[in-house]
Amino acid sequence: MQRFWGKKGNYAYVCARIKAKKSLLLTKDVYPKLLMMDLNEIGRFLGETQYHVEMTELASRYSGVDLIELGTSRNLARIYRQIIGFSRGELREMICSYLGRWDEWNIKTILRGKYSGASIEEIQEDLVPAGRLSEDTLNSLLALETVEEILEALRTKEGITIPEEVMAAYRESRTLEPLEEYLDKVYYSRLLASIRTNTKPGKLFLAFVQKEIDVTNLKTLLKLKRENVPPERCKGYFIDGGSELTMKELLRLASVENFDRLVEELAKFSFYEEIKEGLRIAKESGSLIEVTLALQKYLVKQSETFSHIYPLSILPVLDYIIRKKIEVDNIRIIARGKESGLDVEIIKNLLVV
Amino acid sequence: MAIEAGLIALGAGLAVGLAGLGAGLAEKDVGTAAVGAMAENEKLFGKGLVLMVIPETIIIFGLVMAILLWTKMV
Amino acid sequence: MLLPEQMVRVLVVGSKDLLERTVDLLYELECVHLIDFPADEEGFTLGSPLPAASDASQKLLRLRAMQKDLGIEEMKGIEPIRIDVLTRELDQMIESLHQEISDVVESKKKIELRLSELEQERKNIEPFVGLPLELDLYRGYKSLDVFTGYVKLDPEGVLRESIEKFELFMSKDGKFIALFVAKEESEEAQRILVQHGFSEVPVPLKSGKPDRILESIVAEEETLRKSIADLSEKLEKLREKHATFALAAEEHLNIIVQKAETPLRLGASVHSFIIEAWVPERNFEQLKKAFDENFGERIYIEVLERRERKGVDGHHEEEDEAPVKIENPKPFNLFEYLVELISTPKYNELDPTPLISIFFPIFFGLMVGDVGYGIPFVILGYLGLKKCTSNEWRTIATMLFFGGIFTIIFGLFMFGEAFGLHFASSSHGEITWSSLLGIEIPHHIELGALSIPLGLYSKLHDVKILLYISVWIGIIHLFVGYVLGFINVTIRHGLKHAVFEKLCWLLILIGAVMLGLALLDVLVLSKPLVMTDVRMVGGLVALVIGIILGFKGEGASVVLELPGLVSNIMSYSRLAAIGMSKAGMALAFNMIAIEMIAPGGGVMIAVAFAIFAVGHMMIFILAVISAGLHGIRLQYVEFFTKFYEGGGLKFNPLRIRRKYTMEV
Repeated sequence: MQRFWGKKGNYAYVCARIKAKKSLLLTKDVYPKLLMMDLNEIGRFLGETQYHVEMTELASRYSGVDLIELGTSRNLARIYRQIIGFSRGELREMICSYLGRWDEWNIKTILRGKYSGASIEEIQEDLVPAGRLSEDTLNSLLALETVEEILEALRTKEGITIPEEVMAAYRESRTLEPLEEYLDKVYYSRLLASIRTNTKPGKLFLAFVQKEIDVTNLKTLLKLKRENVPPERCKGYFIDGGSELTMKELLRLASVENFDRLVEELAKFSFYEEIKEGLRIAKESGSLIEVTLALQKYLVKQSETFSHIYPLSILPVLDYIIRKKIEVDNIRIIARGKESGLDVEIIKNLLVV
Repeated sequence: MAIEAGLIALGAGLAVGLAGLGAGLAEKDVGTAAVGAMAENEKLFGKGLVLMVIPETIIIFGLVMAILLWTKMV
Repeated sequence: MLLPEQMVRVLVVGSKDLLERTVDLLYELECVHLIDFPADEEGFTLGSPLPAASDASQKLLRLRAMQKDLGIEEMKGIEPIRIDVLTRELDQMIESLHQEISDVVESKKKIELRLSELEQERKNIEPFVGLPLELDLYRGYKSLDVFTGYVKLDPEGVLRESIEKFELFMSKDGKFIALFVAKEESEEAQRILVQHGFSEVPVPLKSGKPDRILESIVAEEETLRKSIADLSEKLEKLREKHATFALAAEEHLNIIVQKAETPLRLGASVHSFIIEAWVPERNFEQLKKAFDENFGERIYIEVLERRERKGVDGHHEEEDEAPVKIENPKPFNLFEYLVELISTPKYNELDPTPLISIFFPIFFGLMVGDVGYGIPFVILGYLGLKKCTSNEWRTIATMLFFGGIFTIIFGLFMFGEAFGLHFASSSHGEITWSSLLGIEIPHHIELGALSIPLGLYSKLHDVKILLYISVWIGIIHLFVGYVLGFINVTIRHGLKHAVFEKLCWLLILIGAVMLGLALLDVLVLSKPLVMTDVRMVGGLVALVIGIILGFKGEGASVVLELPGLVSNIMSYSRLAAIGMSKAGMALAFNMIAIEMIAPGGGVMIAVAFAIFAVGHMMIFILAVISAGLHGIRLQYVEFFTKFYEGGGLKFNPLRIRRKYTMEV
């Protein structure tokens, strides 16, 4: 049947499975209960939900915060790879390119680890093999000794070529920064290239990815302005491809005098309503947490709207991927908050629900 | 007479065959979706099964037409 | 039986020090359906778990991990362990179990890891065994480049032309090569190799002869495999020794945690707790008495509301739906699972279980209609009901048992068939049991004044009549459906709505049937159209009144749904169609076995019997699947849509189930 449809992709199967998975996600009213439990109980509770595979595997060796953190991130990796596993055709390509951000995260983690001389086990614990690169591939990259060897392996196996000027910048500056920026750019350009805009869902997908790029750039911009970084240095941090915050706009906003002026300038954009409150708090207290949370919630709302418009397309899958990540993040925030003894109210305000 | 019987038989065959094709096309996607949903959550088996069988009606109508045609022939 | 139980909503308030005992009492009563306290209520928080929860949770996590390592699964027929014995020994048993297991599991995991490493190494080194070089010779050259890997075509010729100095080693089958070439010419060499389908295989980081290395790897794998077998045996013994304890401990801890986390569903303030719950009205007295006896004045109980069936217009009562507790008497309750499969009935509508229990077996029987299949059905169904415990299998067994009974009835009296062969001699000259057995089986059995037919219709020959009967059964079924819908709407919204919503459809149905009967004569039997025929007039009148009422009730969509009604009625023709298809298949197998092969005599009779058996087995299974599915589908899609809403909340009282432990 696959050959009959060519590279179309098995939308019916994947979307039905994703919807079933979505119904098993934690609902809003579970979080207040989790907030009242302590770490052991949270671990046990997770062991009775769809995290049970990872929890039973790890419970004999870890406990408390470590168990929850490791269990949830492994579960995330497993589920994402499972989704890649059962999708076919162009659907699979699009999901792979979207989840490429995890490949990029893993490569960065490996580079950083090697650069700072961490041991293999230590780096392994931070890897989340949730993208196209499987655990074995990542382990084989880990086995190499130096940064150059890893980059060479990437070139031959994955087709990621680091251009000469970036390599020169790396050798000159002796930091990984140029490499990491370049990897970011590669990821986004690949992602944007793989989206098919000839279908309506494809257009919405593209719009959504562009919004994501906007949000990422905005976060970077706010951070840079708060630290009062001079505008010339800002350019390297921004990613090209956003819809409202184009490169030109970003550079213009970067050269605004100070943070308060920036907030005023931002009033022109569509997402201003969502982040108004957060920006006000940021102006007063200097903390960007509120804004970041508001931006996250904005993205989640967007993806939820998208997912219902075309039920047999990539959009529900995207929605699930984002929600799953949010759920894992929330659980980890609760776990870490409890571990450090934060008050329940404070933890509650850090959740994206 | 022979031609008449032959044409009727042909008509009956087409009725059932094309109806079967239609029902098959319909149930293909529903079936994969039902199987996929069940893989995640066992409780959806009943609903999935029932939803999958709904396009069977098309076949039955085809069969009824074939039978009515057949009785004309006999 | 037909309506779910009446529920009342109660409020229980008490001081926090009584919380633990209150929770225990609620679990004992087994009739309280908690309403989860909303988390954002002003002035209240959710209750915090009882202190036993944390410790029990931690033990439970470890226990479950150990259970997985040992592969312990549910077991039956275990002697329950007393909980006082269990609590005493729980801690040390878990500790000692952990110690015993963890070493074994750790070593096993290490060995498994090493085995997969060895497998990888073996795969890497196997190709090199074909070349006569030691591994050291592939490395460490200053002026040479080495290429090792698989090729599709032999590159030697081309290499000889373009490259001066090189040395090529090839394995016997010509697939694997090692090429040594000067560094200056290595690019050219690589290009040539790529042209010949070269795929690189890196040299393993070892030294020595490849075949020796391979031997040692294989030897090591052997020893490791033995060790794993030993360890697995050890784990098996551990499993046998500790399985009962582990299961009992898990159940016990589970119950502790379940009880201790109940406060999370309740509301709490600084000093008190609040419980809102649904309780069946007839259990309320018992509840009140229990609380009075145990706590007297210190706990306050009040009935907040007595949920009526009559719904309010609109659906804004989504939040606090009353739970639905269905109870059906003995034979009917086996069909409850079939209703649940769609969804639980709503609080204010009829429970359709008794009706399914009657109609579904009848449909099943009609569609199979063969004594030869009916008897195994009944036997299998009975065995299934006795032995199976899971819901799905019990439902299938129910379907087989009751369906089987009707199959026998229809098979005996209506169709007169067994295994596709009729009993009495037939006028169509086909084989029947009479001709096969050589005895005369009458068409009717005379019992005093009654004449019981042994086969009124033949599935293959009386097709028109059977179709006719199926459609009539459909009309009756739909009629019952609409009547039920009428009752449901009356319960919910009152008589007036019911008239406009459902009575109209009843009238349309009756009208359509009467018209249909009248037109049937005209179209099929070619009688002249008589406008003053009673059926014609009555039918038109009923139809028109029905449509007018429907307009008032649902608007113009009534006209759009008229064809839907016709298709629903026609859908019942599958009762005849499926019966026919099974009969057809049976006929085919019978003909092959009895008429074509058996007359050969001797061995052929055995062959014929085999074909007969295999064929009918096939039809048997197909009959179960298709008759079952289509029977249930008729209920769900045609019948339920006329009156069923579903989507109710199932009654889920707090209760404990103990399998492996025993309370003292």
